Amino acid sequence: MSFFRHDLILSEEVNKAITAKSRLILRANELHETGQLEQAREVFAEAARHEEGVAALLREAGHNDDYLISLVSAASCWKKAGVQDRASTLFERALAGQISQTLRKKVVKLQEECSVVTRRLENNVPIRAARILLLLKYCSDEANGDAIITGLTRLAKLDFFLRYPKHLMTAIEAVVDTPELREQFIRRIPVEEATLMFNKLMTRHHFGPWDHNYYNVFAYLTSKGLISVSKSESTYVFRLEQAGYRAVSMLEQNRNFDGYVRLAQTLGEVFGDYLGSQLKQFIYDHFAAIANAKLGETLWES
Amino acid sequence: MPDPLSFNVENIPVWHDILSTAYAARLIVIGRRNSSPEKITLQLETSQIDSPCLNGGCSASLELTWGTTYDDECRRSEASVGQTRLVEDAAVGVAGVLFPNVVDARFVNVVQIGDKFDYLMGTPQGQFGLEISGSEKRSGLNALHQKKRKQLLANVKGKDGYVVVCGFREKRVIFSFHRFGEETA
Repeated sequence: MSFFRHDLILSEEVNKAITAKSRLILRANELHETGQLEQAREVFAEAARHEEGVAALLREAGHNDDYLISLVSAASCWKKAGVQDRASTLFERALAGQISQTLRKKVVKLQEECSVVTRRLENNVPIRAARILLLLKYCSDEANGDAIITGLTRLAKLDFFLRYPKHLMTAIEAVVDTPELREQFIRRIPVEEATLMFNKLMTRHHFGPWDHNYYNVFAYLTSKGLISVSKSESTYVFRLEQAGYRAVSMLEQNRNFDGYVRLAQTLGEVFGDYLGSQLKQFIYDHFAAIANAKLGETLWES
Repeated sequence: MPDPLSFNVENIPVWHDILSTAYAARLIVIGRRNSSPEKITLQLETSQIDSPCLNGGCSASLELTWGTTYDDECRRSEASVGQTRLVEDAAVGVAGVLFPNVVDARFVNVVQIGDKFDYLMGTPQGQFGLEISGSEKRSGLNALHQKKRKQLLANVKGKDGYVVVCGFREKRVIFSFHRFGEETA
């Protein structure tokens, strides 16, 4: 017998998914309350992914009220997992739906809390700097072994794929002809971990995805002697310096950067010989949501 | 005197897919502390609960028994879980006995809203909210019930639901059903 109400007859698949995520939520709360915070965050992230799956199934089945509750639950789990930007996106989606006034008040408050944290993280220059260092090492456009990226557009577009691994997967599907190679590249992409990445969101600017913090990041990297920035005619040239190589080596040994290192390697192999203008055009051609976004609009991954 | 309603709490994870053995273990820990090594008897007081177990009445004696199956889990819980959490989880255990034995319902869904998680019960008639709380104080169970009732009636999901509050030292359980939108005063 189904233990759901008659207007909410759900398939076995949905019921199983609900059971699985319910267990995860209880487990995550248990870990949190017993002080195992790091593990709690991991289980909350897993619960959030499951809850998003449940929400999608409920929406597909036309159960809008339950879909919205599930969405809020997924957002709350992401928030508990520390993934504020994803939480914020889902809270926004829930607010766009028809939810009760009581729930709306709570969601508005939760969303504001996420925004405060996101804004604080927004100023996190070192994480952005780390990504630039990896790009310089793995996506250099110099064949002579120097780690150099020529052009701000090229750097920003490569950074875009590093921050949006799902889009990188789409790009690989479009660019790599050999099925075996395609599979090999796609297997390397840490899509699951990617949702946990910080400071990944970019905005739509004149030539596509952009991060308004770039100039701060370049100043930071230059002041630390990690990179040098020069100009060749009107084009910026970014070069990894000796201290930068040492920093990259430390990043490569840090487990938390595994995902980024794999992404940067893959990105270099797939788009290593693309010019900035080619990357820009490729993004416009393959990602309509980005091409059509208004100037200044935040670019979400899904 | 009618026979008590007697249930073995070790069956809680069997009755409810989403409840782990921890809830049974924590109920056993609290039961042992407040009663005896193998059982605790609580006075069950109900409101708006229609159940064949109650023979048309609104109270019964609820006897919760256990064996030694969860002794290891009990030791782990005592060592790692705070007192408040132990008592709250023991109350979830009591709810895990009342459903499906007194009311035909199961714990089917847990949703996280902000920092709190809420249980949803599935019954053949529909899906319902549930508020649960436990206490080891000597008194105050009625006030605790009122507090949980208000919380239930303010639930963000707009669902009717149940309240289960357990006074393990008072040896009482209040079990009630409420319509969303009913008077909260």
